[in-house]
This record gives sequence, structure tokens and C-alpha cells, in this order.
Amino acid sequence: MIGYFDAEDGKPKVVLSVKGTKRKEKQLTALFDTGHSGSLSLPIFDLIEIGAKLASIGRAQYADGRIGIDYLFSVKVKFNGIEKEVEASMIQNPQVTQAIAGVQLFSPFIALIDFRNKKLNLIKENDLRKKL
Amino acid sequence: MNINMIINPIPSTINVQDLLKKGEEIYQQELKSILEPGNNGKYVAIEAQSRKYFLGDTKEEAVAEAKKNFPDKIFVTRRIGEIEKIASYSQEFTPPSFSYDWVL
Repeated sequence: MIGYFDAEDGKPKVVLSVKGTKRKEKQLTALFDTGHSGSLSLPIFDLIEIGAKLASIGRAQYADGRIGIDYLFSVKVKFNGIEKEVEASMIQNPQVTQAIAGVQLFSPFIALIDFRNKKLNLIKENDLRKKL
Repeated sequence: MNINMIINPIPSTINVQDLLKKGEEIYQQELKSILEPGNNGKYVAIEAQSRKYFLGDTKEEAVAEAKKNFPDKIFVTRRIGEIEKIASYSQEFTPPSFSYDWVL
């Protein structure tokens, strides 16, 4: 079980391990945001700590209309015993220390969020079909 | 000790503005007429030196495809058609100017 609801803020969180070019692997807790269009956003200091390698840069527009630069870094992510390489976007504000995970990260798993019972489960589509 | 490595994950050898400018030039001059409007909403990752490009439904897919061919390059990404809009938690942060005296 890698997902849970945080008793402090009531938000769904997932536990992940991330690795960059350095040998060091870092375990972190990410907010699970179903509205996140990508796989993962990591705080700048986490990217520095693991030595993540810059993969791409691109212009993007923020909600307030400003145009900025979005940076993607190559990161290896481990969860539920599987490891995958993803392109994680950088959270540039150093005051933000919370990583954000999107649904794309967990493919081929499907996330089942039970808000009433505060449970978060990841299940493969085939296994879900068997249960239905 | 390399101070830049401590405080900034962007390699000091990369001129971000120059790379973005070159990528945008390639897009406007060579790719826009080919990719728009048929691929609007998709993403393109451009390798500026070779001027090769790779498409994906998401930005990550385009970069992953590009990395298969150029594993050590840094790509310029762009949403085809309209500019990409991103969430506030990715918001760019402009730090106040400060000296590194505290590090030394």
C-alpha cells in the first residue's frame, strides 16, 4: 500500500522513491493530484539532492497569464515494487517542498480514491475487471 | 566546490534563453507549417543542433521519444498550436537578488 490520506490535511498522498544521476535514492511523500497533467512535479531541492538530469525546457503560461519556463528532469521513480523513468517537472519556488504526483505516473495502474472512507488504492485494470 | 551545483539544478553550460530562442526559430521557420493545425494540442520536442523533432500526445511522451535518439541532449519542448498552460504549483520563482556570501 503506497497511498493514504494524510490525517493532517485530509489530502491523498503517495510514497515514492526517486533517483537521479547520483546513487542516492530519496524516499518522499507526494500529494496525489488527479488534475495534474503530467507524471510528477518535484521541488527544486529534491532535484538537486538526487542529481536529476535536465531533459527539456519549454515556454509555458501560468494561471496568472505570465509566461515562464517549464523544466523537465529525467528521474527514476519506484513505487509498488516497480521502477520507471519519468520526466518530472521542476517546482521552481524553493518555498514549496511538497512533491506532486499525477495519474500518468501510475500507469498502468488505476487509482481508486474512496473519499468517504479516506482510502486510496492502486490496482491494475485487469484486476479491477475481475473484481467487478 | 561548485556553488552553482548546490543551488541550481540547471547545468551552467546551458544558456536557457539561447536554446529556447533557437528551438522557437526552428519551430516557426520549419515545423509550424508542417505540424499545424493537424497536430494541434500535441507536443513537439526539438533537438536544436540536428533540427530533428519528435511528437507526443504529452510533453513527457515527446521528450521520451526524443531521448531514444539523443539520450544526452536537452530538448526544447513546445505545445503545437497554442502555448501550454500549466498549474500554479509549477510556477516560476524569481528569487530576490542576494549574494552567496553566506555559503563562503
